[in-house]
Amino acid sequence: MKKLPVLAALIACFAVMRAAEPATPALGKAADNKIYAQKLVNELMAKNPDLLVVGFHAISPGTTEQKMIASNLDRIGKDDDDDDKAVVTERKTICVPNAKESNKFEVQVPMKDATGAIIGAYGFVFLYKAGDDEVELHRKGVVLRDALSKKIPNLAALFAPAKL
Amino acid sequence: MKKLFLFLAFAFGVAALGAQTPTPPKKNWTPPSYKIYAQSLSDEIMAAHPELISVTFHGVPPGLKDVYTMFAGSYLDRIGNPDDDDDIMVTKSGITIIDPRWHRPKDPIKKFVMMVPLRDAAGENCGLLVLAYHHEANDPSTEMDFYKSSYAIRDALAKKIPTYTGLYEKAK
Repeated sequence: MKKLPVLAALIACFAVMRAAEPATPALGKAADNKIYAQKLVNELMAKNPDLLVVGFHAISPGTTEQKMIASNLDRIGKDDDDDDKAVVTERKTICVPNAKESNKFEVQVPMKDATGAIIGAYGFVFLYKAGDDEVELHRKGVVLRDALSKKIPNLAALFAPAKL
Repeated sequence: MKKLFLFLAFAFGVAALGAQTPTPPKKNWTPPSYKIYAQSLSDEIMAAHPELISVTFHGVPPGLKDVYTMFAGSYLDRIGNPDDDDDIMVTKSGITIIDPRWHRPKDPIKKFVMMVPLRDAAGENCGLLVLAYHHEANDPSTEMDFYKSSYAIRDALAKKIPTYTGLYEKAK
């Protein structure tokens, strides 16, 4: 009997703590993301076995925040980090060895449309092993970006409905 | 009376000039009185690479903790300036940042900046090397060219760095 109030108090505390946490919106699944950008991601993953992760980052029409708009991971709609934003706002390219998973190396490059306008950012995570040529991985990222740009007439086209 | 007027005009001028001059950042490190090895390496790089506008070395001086600073480079007046967040990110995570300096009207000379992890002879990351290249509008160099060049300079430099702490020793 003595244990019951303690348990009730614990449950109440837990509920209060959960209520105080900021609500995290559920992230979308790649399979449900039926837009042209996702189609491009799927094609890219199918053709490049050395690619482990692809993320497309942009501001969708009618919004103001840059987010993940397409990926092979179920993270659609995830808010972008500062480095993703710097790739767009400052045109920076960032090459990132993964400190936690040493088999991954990410190349973040500005996304261009067919006219050369910067409309977002790409994150390409390549398979990597210690000693691999980082300059070559950067080159691969730029080559992928430039090939994709020919398939993107403008930002709005990325959000057009598509069959996956 | 004329002297008083001149004095007031001079004082006003000095005050106005002072208000316009941006306050330099507060230093977080003071270099030793002698020239350190890293500074001699900086001088060598600048002499050998006319394509560079500047080179700077960044990291945490031996014996200190979380004091990220510029400890050598071609801008002597900036030695001891605290590092920016992106500088610290390179030192901590070993990332490379390729910065085309897009829409930077305050840059007196058009440049392209490479921020690469500084490495020692064993290939370990130990800080940050910032290389600023001349990049006028008619320069055909691509970001891949700058990437390759910066890694070549960094890797050649690494062979001359047996230990990170050695960078702070008196130059021979």
